[in-house]
Amino acid sequence: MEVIEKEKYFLLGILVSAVITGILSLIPLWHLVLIAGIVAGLFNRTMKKGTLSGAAGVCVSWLIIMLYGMVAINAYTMMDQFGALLIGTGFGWLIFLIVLLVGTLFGALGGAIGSAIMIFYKGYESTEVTE
Amino acid sequence: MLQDKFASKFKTRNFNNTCDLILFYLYILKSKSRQNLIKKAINMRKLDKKLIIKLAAVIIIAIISMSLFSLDLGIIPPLGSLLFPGNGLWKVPGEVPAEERLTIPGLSADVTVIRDEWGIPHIYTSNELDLFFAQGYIHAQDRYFSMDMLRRQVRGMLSEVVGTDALPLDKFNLAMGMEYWANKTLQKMRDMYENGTIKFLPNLDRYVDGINYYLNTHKHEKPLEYYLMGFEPTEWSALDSLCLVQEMARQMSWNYRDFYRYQNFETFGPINYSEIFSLPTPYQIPICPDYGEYDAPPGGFWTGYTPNPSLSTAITNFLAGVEKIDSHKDLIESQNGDSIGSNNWIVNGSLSTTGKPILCNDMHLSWILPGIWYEQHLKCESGLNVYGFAIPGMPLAAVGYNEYVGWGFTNTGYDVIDWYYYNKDPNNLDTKYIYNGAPTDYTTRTHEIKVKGEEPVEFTVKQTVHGPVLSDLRDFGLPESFGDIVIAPQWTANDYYFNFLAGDGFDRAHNRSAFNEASKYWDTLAQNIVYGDIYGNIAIRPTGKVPIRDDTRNPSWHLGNGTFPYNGSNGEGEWIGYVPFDDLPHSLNPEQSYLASANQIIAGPEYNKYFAQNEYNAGYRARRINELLSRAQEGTVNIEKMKEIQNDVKSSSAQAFTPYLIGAIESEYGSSPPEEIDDVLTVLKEWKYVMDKDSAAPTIYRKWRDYFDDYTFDDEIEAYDAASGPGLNVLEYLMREIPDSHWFDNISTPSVEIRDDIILIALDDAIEWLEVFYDSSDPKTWRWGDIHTAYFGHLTGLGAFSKGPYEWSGSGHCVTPSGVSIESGVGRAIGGSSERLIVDFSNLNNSLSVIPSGQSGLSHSRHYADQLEQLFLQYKYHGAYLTNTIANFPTTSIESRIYFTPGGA
Repeated sequence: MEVIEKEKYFLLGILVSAVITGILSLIPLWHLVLIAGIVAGLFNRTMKKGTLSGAAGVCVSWLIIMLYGMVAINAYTMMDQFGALLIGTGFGWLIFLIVLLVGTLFGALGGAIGSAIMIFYKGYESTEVTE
Repeated sequence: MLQDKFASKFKTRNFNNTCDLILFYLYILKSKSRQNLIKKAINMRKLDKKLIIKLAAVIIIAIISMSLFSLDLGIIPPLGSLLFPGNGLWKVPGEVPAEERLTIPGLSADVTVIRDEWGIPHIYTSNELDLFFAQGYIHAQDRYFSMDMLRRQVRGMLSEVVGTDALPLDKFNLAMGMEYWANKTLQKMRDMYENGTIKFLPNLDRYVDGINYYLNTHKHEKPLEYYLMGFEPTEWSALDSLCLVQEMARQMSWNYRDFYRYQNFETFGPINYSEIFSLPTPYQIPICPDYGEYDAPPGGFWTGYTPNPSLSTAITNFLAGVEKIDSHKDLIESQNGDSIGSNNWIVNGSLSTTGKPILCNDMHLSWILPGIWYEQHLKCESGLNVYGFAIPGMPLAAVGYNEYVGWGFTNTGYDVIDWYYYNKDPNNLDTKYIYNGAPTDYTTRTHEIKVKGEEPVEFTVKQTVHGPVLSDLRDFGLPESFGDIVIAPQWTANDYYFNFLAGDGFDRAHNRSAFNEASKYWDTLAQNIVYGDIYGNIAIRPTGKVPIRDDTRNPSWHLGNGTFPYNGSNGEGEWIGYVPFDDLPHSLNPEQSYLASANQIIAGPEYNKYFAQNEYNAGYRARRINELLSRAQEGTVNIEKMKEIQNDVKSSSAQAFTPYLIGAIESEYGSSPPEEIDDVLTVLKEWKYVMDKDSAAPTIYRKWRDYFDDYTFDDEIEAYDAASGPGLNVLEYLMREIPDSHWFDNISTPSVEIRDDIILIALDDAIEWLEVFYDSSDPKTWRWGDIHTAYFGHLTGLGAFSKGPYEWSGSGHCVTPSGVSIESGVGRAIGGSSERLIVDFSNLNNSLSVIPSGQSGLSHSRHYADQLEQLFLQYKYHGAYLTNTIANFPTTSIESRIYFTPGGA
């Protein structure tokens, strides 16, 4: 039961993080993505899970946003053009991949921070203190 | 004391431990929550210290990573703001939605905009003010970045977004007076509107409102270029629209040719100059056929010339300085090339298969993306119904057709700019110059230039009676100075201009008379305006302000008519008026059943009331067009034929030169030339002078001709230290008429060469060059398309947004021009037809058009380069839908609809 409970929190963290990432993407300040990762981390009590949860949440959200952008505003063409500016023609896929990986990294970092905070907090709750 | 109590309670004295330190401070707090805080702190102490280290490391990594993606990389903005979802490229406007409903305050009635399959808007309204509002909205939606950059260039506003690098260009453009005269013209138009003289102005204002409405409602959606360049779009104004007319005038008529002619005159000497730079140059077929023809090039002769070394030095320095400003260097190069020009022609009902005229136009400008032109259809129930090309940022259609008349432009080559030089007043070097023999004060105007990241710069322009002083390039941030000589131009664009009123009249004209009345307002940017109507009339008129000079004070050697710079201190070459509109050469329904212009000479020798031109195109395109039209049988010319002519790549210069090359080979070698020359001869003999990208003969011809031209004139150019040689038609004249001309002799050799000697030397060197370049001695492998390409560059110069290079048929002398140098290898043509239009007056819905780009300025849009890639490169066109209404617009051709509805605050 406890395992299932923990798994539920882990998945919930991913979900909440993904939603928050989506909402924060409406604000043109990309640094806020870290917050989405931190929130994901707060659902976990180990840093590994927190990291994974933040990474997955942001990754899923950015993937959806980017796929939508490719359909809605033909963003892949722009990534291709940007790839051509930096590397050479035909590297839109690489830009796509890099953006997604970087988003995942920031999610992971946020998740790690969030889970660390949670561990601090949970540690307080589960420890008896006698003066 | 406290420390002891703390130590006994918590069993520690280790205050180096952060947690214990915090615990200690909490302990000494006397707050109500002390106990809870102490509990938390105790738990913190119990945590694994490794966790704290991990957390610190994660935070450091996060800060470093975020900083990396926030770094400004110079030409590339911070990658995070550009690439990450929610920012940059994810915030650019997408494709126009299939259906959009907008409630617009200030609109008087509903407006519907239908975009067809090429993204071309068809705007339907019941009120003209609404029509222009919608046109402004649409222009901003599709092209705002290019509009913004163009007006910034004219108005000296590039430094504001680029920084100090753009200051010389901003200063120079401001000094040229383009913004200054746009502003004066706008004020004049407002006065004229107040007086009831004109009605157009509210339409311009509503057009501007439409642009700004779009900008204000799309502040968070801007084209990618804004993110890349790191600035925000700012509002448009009526002044900006007027400035774009000035920019077109700059591109079409601003030049330094007076100086180049003078340099050649001075270095070659009067006699040599008269031989190769005489006017008119040979083989011209005048645009207006009613003034006779030129039999042979008459020589001009000069006497009493006295060299003026200080002027020569000043001119050399001035030109060297001007060429350091990129856009002016580009302008000079493009004007000296073959690609800039245009074609228009019209056949009357007797030649056409339909019994009604067919009109064609293709204006040759730089190939840039987004394209220069924007196609649109404006339809108002109150009468206006016009399809054509506009420059985004300007209302109306500049070129096109309505239900009654159609028109097209080519540049006239009227000499509309003169350069004056003056001595400074020795007693007041900075404040006075000598004009008409007397010390005269400069007038001044001051501009403030905003500079990115720096304080604004105040810039003062000095002006003589003729125009702005441009000679001291230190004023523009460049190092050159010209001592005591002052140089200033007088230019027709430095005056009031009412081209918008002309355009308004063109768009509404129902017949020739109304069109003529409108043409009287066509002031600057002089054009050969070809005209046709549904009544069967065809006409052409080189139109615009043409200065009349008082040349009575010129020295005897000076040809006058603005040929060379004038000595302003002596009062030479004063403008005393403009050629009256009715005295401009023109032709209406000529005997020959067609009219054609391709930037050649405007009129024959019988037009002698006024002098109009000092230079014009060599005339090869005009020769080919005239050849094709004059050969056409009655009742045979249809739309297909017109398409063929517009895309014709047969070279009339190749047709003129190649037989002499073949003749020289056969004369020298008889029936047994050396193998390598025999192979070349075989290729050339089979050739029909078509500059096909898959053929080898164009490559051989072009490389040989370049050497032939160089070897004929370069020795003299070097010996005399001249600026340049004559046009190709002069070489043709010498080749045909004077085979033993002294110009063929290589003056650096003891022997005397004549035409065929040079032809064969040029051939040997061409073959040698081509064998090395193609790494093949087989002439059949020397494909033209391998060395002759077309390139469509983005206006920022970024290759990622550009298209090409594409292998390309044609050359600078074909009807479809693509002037390019192959001197050092593969050449890229960067200019040519900027639009193509064919108007069928028997059924206007049969009319065709195409642009070498697309409607959208957004590089990711499907309409960014769709016409280029799917039509222009395959010599195809699309149809236009002039007579359609919203109700009968073919649904299969409708891509999107925008409904504007009045309402809102």
